[in-house]
Amino acid sequence: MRILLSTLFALCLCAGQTFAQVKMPPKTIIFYQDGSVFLGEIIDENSQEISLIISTLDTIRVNKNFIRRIRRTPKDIIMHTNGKYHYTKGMFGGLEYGYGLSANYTVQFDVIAGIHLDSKYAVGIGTGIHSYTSVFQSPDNNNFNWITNNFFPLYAYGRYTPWNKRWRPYFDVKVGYGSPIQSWWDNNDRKGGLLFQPGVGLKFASRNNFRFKISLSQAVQRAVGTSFRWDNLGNEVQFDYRLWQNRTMLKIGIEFR
Amino acid sequence: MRQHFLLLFLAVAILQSCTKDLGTIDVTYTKATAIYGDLETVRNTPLIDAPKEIDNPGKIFVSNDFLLIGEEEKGIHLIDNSDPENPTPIHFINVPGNREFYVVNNTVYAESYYDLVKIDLTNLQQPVLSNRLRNAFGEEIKNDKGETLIGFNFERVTESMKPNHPVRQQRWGQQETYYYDYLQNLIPPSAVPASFAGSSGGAIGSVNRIAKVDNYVYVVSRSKLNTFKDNGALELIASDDVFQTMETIFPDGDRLFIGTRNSMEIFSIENREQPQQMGNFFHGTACDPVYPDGDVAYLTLRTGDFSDCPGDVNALHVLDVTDIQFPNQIQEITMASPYGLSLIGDRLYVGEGRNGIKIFDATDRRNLTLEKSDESVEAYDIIRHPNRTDLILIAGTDGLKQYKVEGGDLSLMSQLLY
Repeated sequence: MRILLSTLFALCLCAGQTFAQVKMPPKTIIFYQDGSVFLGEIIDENSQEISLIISTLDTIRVNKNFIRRIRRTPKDIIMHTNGKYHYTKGMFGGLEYGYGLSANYTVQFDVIAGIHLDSKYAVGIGTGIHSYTSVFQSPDNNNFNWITNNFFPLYAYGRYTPWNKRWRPYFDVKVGYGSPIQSWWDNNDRKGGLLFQPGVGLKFASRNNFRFKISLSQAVQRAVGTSFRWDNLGNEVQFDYRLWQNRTMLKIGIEFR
Repeated sequence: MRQHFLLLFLAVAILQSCTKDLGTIDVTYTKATAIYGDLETVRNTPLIDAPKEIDNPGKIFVSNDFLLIGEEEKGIHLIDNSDPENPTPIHFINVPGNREFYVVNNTVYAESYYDLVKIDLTNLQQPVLSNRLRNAFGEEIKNDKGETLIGFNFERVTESMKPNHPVRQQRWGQQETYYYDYLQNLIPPSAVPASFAGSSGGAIGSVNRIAKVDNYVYVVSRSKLNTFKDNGALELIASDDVFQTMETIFPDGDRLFIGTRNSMEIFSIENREQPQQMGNFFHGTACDPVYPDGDVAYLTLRTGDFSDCPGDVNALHVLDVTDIQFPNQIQEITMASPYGLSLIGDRLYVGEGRNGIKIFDATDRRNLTLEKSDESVEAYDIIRHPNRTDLILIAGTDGLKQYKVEGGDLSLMSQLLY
């Protein structure tokens, strides 16, 4: 856990100090077959070659025979020197998978849709399936017992990305309501409640329409309910719980556009 | 910029420390508190007492001329039934700790805590304790004072727990182990709320935990099949861990039918001293009295939410047991809450508890048809009279009632109310 956090912190630090943003946003990225990448604004183009002004304000001509791919980029991106970029406008969608780092078992799968408001802020809505297991020691058998609650959350999503780095650190938050998913195989009564999940993370620039991200967040989910089981002699054991399930989540995700 | 990363680092550190759930969990459970006593004093309790009120009835046995009604954990009521219209109490037989007994030819085999006792009823006016096999079901469990564990008080309690509670060292220490050992080895409380049939020549009940074949007595506890030899004195031959949830045992020729909560198990006892498992029939978790009759066996499965038999199956199964290794279901009849059953002549009587009694035409043993359903009679077990086919006894929560049978109609003759 400490190693993981230290690594994440180091990554944040590296992102801040090593990868500088290109000052002049280029409009086009040309990928050469030999792996070279040219960034600039096309000022002329014919069947043989393309002329473009690069960041040094020099004009270069690129032979089309050696071009592997041309990406005529939209205006609202943050481009980096290796041709990888982040979007700062437009809609985006994302998938996240998270695993709890605490002793209590937690898994989250999320689908998020949103919009980039500008280079720093994004908002959206999200849903998914969250599963929380609370482990505790019951007096009837002096042993581990667990209560599992699955939720279908619906939440508002907000993200603040203060720095325009290739690995962009961000702060995000999910605020909403987790509706319980009742199990058909038991008589347990489950009620949902508030979901609040702030987090920090890194989003990695790419040359494609999707970006990977990794985050640490704190999920707080209200869970109220009653569950039952039978002891070894067939007696009913009843658990009435009122919990704030409080879990640190390590999440990985992918964001489209 | 460095300030931002310092904040980020602090945020991560705070998150790392917040991994515990908050709130409370109220646990409502059945708490067991051990009861210790002087077992020798218990063993020396006088056998016979004056008749007592039936307070907490247990097992019932019907003979030609008398009735035995168990008083849970205390003993057995002996009642003169030579006139079924006017049953008269004779004695109360003290058998401390008793829940289960079985009768063959005026001999009662009964558990008494760790012991198996044999009581001779040849002279109803003067029952005699003819033999006691000490520690038949297990070695005595004692506390530091040398007192013997003779049971548990059970009470329903609620305790409030914190989530993420640290693992405690065995809070009850050895006592918890005792709880399981004691109750696994000894005969547990019945899973039915009232009385059940005992035995009589050719007409044994369907929910016994003791059975006798020739000179061998078989006793099922929760998890053990105990084999005793009776050559005047009782002798423990074997005590085998078999299943975890045995409910009933029923002898049929060279076979033992054992009902568990998940199956009906068939044992061969061609070698009386070494029962061998031969076959089984699995079903959902349920309380399941079984009643074999030749090549078929009738099996009732009863469940209910928050009962001792949780689940969702309530049915009467007719099984073909021609091939003992592969019992085959040939009929399933949906029931409301089937308990005990008894085949009298060509009619199968099935107690449905508070839902009454169902009478099936069993002329074709493999194809039962419902003849009559009577919801006015609360029936947990049906007991046939050993000699009279016109008389049946029905155990309910309020008493034992004797009915005269005329066709499919029942008319009340007498009742012993609890």
